[in-house]
Amino acid sequence: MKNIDNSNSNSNSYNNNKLTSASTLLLFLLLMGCTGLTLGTCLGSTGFEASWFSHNDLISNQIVWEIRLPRSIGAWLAGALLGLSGALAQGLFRNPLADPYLLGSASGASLCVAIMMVMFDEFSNPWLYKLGLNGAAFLGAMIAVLFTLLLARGMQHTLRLLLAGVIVGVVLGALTSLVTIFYPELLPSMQSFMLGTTNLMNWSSVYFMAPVLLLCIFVSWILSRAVDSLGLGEATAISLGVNLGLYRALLILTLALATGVSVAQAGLISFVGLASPHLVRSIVNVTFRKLMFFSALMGGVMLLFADLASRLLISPREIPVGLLTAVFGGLYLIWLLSRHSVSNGNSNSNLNSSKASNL
Amino acid sequence: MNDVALIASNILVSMNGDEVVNVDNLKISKGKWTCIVGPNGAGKSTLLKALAGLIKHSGCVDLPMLSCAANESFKRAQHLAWLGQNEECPDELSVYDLTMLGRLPYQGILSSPSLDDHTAVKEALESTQSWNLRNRAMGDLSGGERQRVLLSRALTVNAEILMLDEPISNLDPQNQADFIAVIRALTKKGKTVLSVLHEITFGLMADEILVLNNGRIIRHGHSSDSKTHLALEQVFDHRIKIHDLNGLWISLPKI
Amino acid sequence: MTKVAPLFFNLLSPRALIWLSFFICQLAEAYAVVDDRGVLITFENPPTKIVSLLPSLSESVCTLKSCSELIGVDDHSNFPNEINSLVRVGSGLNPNLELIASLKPDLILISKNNRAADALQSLGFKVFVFETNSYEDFKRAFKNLGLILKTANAEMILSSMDEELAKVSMDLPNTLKGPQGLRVYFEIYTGPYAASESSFIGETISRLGLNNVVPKSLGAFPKLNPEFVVKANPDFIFVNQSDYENLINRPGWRFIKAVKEKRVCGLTKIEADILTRPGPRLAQAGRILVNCILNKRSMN
Repeated sequence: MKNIDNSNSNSNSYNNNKLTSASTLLLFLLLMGCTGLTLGTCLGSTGFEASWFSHNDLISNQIVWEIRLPRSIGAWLAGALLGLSGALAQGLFRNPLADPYLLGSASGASLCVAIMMVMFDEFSNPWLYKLGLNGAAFLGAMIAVLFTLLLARGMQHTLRLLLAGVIVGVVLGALTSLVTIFYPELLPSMQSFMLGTTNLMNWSSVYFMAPVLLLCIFVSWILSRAVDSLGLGEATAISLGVNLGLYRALLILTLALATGVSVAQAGLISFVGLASPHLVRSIVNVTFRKLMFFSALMGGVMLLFADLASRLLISPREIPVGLLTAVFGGLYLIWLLSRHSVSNGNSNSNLNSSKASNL
Repeated sequence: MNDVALIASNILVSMNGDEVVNVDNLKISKGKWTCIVGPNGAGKSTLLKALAGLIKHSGCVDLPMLSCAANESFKRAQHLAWLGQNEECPDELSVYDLTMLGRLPYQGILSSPSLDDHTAVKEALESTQSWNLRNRAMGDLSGGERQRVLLSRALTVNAEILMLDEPISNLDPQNQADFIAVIRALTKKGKTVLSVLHEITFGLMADEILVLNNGRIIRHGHSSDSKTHLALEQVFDHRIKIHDLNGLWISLPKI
Repeated sequence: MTKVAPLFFNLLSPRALIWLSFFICQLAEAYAVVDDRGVLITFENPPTKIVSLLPSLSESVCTLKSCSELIGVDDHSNFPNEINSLVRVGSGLNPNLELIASLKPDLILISKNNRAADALQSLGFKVFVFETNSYEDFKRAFKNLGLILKTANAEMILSSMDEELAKVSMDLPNTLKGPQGLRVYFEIYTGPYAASESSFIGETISRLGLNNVVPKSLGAFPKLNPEFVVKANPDFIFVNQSDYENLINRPGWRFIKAVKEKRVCGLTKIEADILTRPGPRLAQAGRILVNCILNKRSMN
């Protein structure tokens, strides 16, 4: 059996390239995160100002510490949760176009926020205020996922789950629109939620999101082998002794939790969940264990910089951060498509040459 | 029992109320390559999946080290390796990482690959001439290379029994020949291989043949036995004829 | 030709003359008003079966003449109370065309940028379009309504509104007014969306002599970075009642003077309606603002 192989000479260097790629990516993402956080303390309602240099000004210190720092960290955390969810969703549905909102959590959160806003107007119950819009969003997200699971009658069939999620998303979205038709004065506030908002994040948001992120990363780490084996098909995964039912349940739970918490704190932010795993995969080829971690870091950096831009571009007014992620995400996908059509030509020629070498 | 790798009794598989597979008693010989052959819709893949424990069935599949009562998937995983038909594989995973997935039955939830794991992967990749591809992404490989890597993944399990569902369907002749050479090498080392093939001539290269029709075993015998050849021709409505070519058996259509 | 002559003399007969003069008088009674699209709408008689699709216009009609000129209103018109017995024709932006048609109105009052205007016009109804963003717009709308309804009191009512507002403003001590006076932040929706100097509410605030921390350069209802409000440090904050409870939880807001000194006014829905609608209740709007300011100050 002879196999004239054209990659033998490259294999060692490729191995090294991959290693350095992963470490470089890690360093890069951590560095960008730190830079973003630092910039975040300097960017405020009056554009760029390194106000924390002036230690005498009490108000400025308070502004940096109470407003800008938790907002920047919060944006990073919400983005990390979304990036992680995106990796989980794409692993669960084995589809590179999957995003974390496929189980209906986005529409559920919107509906609950709309209902909560109506209830604020109609009743004045202190419990309502305790729950708040954030609590309502989280509750709505979880309930929507529950509906999806009920509609799909369990978690066995991924396709049924996907269809159920889409149906729940559409129906709950329609109900949300119905609420705004009866209460059109809610429209600007609803739009604010649905286009993503990081502007009211405070330290309690950070204290809430950080442990959730750590928990979700831990569980995803445990699930990573199962997700990889799912890529070979369910039959093969079972043959490798993977307890599919249990792992799928954990996967969906973690996905719902991460998405729900992110939506509760930051509203609906598009593209971060979808694009983060893609961006990571375009740089390194890694198993799910590393992918979900890098995805989280990438998502954090993306949302952090989107938040910086939303503060800076028309200060003191703000562009909703979800709008910016949608624009950047769209541009990125266009670039990705154009690169794919170029590289498709290259990989085809690789294929031909290796086939020729087999003769 | 020493020369039996698997005993299946009263295997019954039904789908939508129709009986698809009905096998009373089946003993698969150890250290041999057995091939399941039959017309389309005979239930070959279904039988194989039932024996591998991948679909619901009534009846018992006993392995020498695992009786059917104790036959849970994670216990079975170290003793029985599976390679599916047209298996999906994630394009961005590297060959090495994908092959390493075969070691899942030996790895705890939180553990990293051990030295044994790395050794097993290297051996498996070398046995299929894929070691030099180890850093390539799966999506960059040709069809033949991909199938070789998927076979390596199954080999890494170091299971006593290897089950293959139509492993050479989409391969070109060189890769088909390579594949069969690997299977033969495995049986020489004492492993048992059970495969489903619809290419009858390749099936005749196995040691034993299971002729299947309408979910039932018509004949289970040696591949060189004339009675087996007769059963094969019968099951295909005598539209094929099996010829002897210097000790090799070839099936050709009878026009 | 000779046959035509008798016809001609018939035309000049007394009977004919009476009909002719009646006709000319009718023509003389017909009048026209230009709406905010620039379209000339002609009337023969003041309309008495009006459908109003904007709450401030409903209020204006009731103030100028009476609510009995109205036969249908949109869902959000709620003042004065007589309006609540009228037929509801759906939301202002999405009215029920069939229902409106069945009422057979002789005039429909509608806001600009409302797609229903074209639909109603193509159904053959008389449609008068108003632009109602600023106080200037409202004054013009009010006067136009006066012309349409052929009432002579429009100017009078407008100047009495201004006088009322000035009187309300007098209740505020002079120290609180003017450039050194109170600085106010008005939040109109959660977002936060603020009402700047250039909005209608902003005008009311300015006319009371108060200062708005949100300048007109940011547009009428900008979506602000909450940090802006912290930096601006207003003396008084007006928000919706539903946002009132959670205001102190907004990051950094507990340092704002208004929050520290508990000078935050939560507005009920009805109060918010009065304040945000450019309508005849201008003085009442001013009253709400002033009352809250005086109350909160006296609490200390």
